[in-house]
Amino acid sequence: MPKSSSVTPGAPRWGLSAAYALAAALAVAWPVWPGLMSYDSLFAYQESRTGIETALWPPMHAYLFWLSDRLGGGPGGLLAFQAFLLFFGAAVSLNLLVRRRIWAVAGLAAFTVGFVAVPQLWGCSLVHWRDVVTASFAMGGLAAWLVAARYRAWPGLALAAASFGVAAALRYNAVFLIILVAPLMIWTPFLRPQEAARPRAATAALLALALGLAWASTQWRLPDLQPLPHPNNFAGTQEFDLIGISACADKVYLPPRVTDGWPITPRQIRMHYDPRHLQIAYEPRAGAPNIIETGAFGQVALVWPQAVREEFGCYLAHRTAVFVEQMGLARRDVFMPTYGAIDANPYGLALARPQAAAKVHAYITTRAPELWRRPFLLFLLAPVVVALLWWRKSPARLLFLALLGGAFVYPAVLFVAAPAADGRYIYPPLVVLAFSLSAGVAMLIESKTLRSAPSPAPRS
Amino acid sequence: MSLRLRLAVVGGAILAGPLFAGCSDPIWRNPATSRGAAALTPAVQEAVVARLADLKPRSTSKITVVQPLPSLPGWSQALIGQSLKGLFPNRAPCLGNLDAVRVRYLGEPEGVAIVGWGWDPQTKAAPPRVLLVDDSSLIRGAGVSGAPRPNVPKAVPGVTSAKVGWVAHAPRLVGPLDAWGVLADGKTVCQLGHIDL
Repeated sequence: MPKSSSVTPGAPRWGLSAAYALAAALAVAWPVWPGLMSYDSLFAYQESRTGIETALWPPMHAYLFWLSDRLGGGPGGLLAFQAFLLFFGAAVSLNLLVRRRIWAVAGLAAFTVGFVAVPQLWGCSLVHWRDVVTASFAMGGLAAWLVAARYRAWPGLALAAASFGVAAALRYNAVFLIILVAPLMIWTPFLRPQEAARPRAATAALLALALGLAWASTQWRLPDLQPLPHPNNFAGTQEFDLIGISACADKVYLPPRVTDGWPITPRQIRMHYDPRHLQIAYEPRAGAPNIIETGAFGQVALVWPQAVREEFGCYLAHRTAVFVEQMGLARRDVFMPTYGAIDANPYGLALARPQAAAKVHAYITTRAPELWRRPFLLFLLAPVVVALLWWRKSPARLLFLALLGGAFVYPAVLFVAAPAADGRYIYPPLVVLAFSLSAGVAMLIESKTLRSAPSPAPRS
Repeated sequence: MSLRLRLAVVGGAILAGPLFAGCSDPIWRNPATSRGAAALTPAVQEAVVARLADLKPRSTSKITVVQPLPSLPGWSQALIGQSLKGLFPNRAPCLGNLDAVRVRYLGEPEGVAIVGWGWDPQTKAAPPRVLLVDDSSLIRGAGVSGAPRPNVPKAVPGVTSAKVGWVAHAPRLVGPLDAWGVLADGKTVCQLGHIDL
């Protein structure tokens, strides 16, 4: 049996990977220390201090804040850790996938440039959003898996499963990122063609344990293991859909309670509707009654399936409008590629270097709308690279297909489930795609140079 | 054409489309193009009826129902659409208020039930009839007094009766309305209040 998988011809190059990750984490964290924080971020931070009160968002983010506080790092510690983990995971993975150091370095350079060229990637990395930590643990899991494959090391496999588990525990939809990686990991735990049943079963058990614990973390809180209330997150999406369907169909599908009993016309609904975010619809509009955040005693949930059935074309049109914003396809701009501040808070959290943060924010917000920097391009380019890997019969082609599949399933789920089109929602797949692109191109170039090099003389 | 060139052309086309075009807002997002009415779709009406029991109105809040507006009083039929100024040239001061929209009727015809109170200091009685008038001074709705409002005599000096409340209906859901009390002589009116629906 070969010592290492043909998928991982390189080496982790721990020193190089750590140095690269340190530099990248410093570049991310220094200007915005201790990390930009929106309402969601501060809510998670609050729960890390007061305890978990709701399951509206999975509590794992609050636990990580708590851990960082206990270790003396505060929110900044978590920011630095998540940035380090992301770039360290990418560096180790890339070094393992590419045989020669020079092409690994080139791949890492491309991966880094990706964060500057697609400002949404950089912009989200600066913020304490659970999407960022999700991506970090996903990349950490990938690196651990590749290390396990390289050295046939069970601890690496366990670490990979644990890392994927934490990633899945951070967002309700995060599991879709590894929806193809996990089966591949079970099928070929050490990324070799032939694998015995025992390693497969053990890997399946490890993943089941990790993902089971991730699920449990959304059902019971720590430390008292009290059950958490049902989050009922889809209610917001349903209300968003009814607003969108009404606007498109030119009919009123909103129960009266949604407007606090005031009659509303389709024209007024259009005044409220904005595919970028449900919350925008709640803002007052002159000449129109307010739309409020409500399930209307279950009426929204009752109307929703019927409205989707009756106006399926408009449902698709509305969801497409949201998706267009989500993927950065709207002509106008990209929605929320970053967050510009730390919101007012009672914890004394403030930017350490507001001027540096302002400069970075200005770069991101002015550059992100440029069409050639839009996130959708990564979704277009990555499949081309993966197709070329298949064409070249790269040993890693199945791995890259699994990565690509997860990166596409993730936004596909958002197509029907997202109550908003925040740029951060597609941050995890964007990171995976940026990695796939940079690693894939490095591998393609390396394989071409290896092919063109003269064959070594056969050993006698 | 070589395979590489073909790949480049196809890849370039895939990238170039959205890169140069971007996506504009769909036309259905433009409020100016809307022609739809405020009427609720049957799906919503069914949901409202299904959950009607869950609607727990507060004492002063409005509720919305899918039933039609109740008929206006018979005496008011000849007045609807007429000018208040033409029919009632005399004005008098009185106490009163237009409190709130109590019910919104979304059936056919749609409309509102509005509540308030009134008191004529001259006759020391509530104006027996109430008219709802639009911003063109045309009569749009009507109602009667006599509803119990025990809080009014407790709060307003000079009001000696508790039956000063009134309920009036108008077949409209939007726009301004003034409430006028028709005094006992049948020729004089006094203003009770105003609301923007």
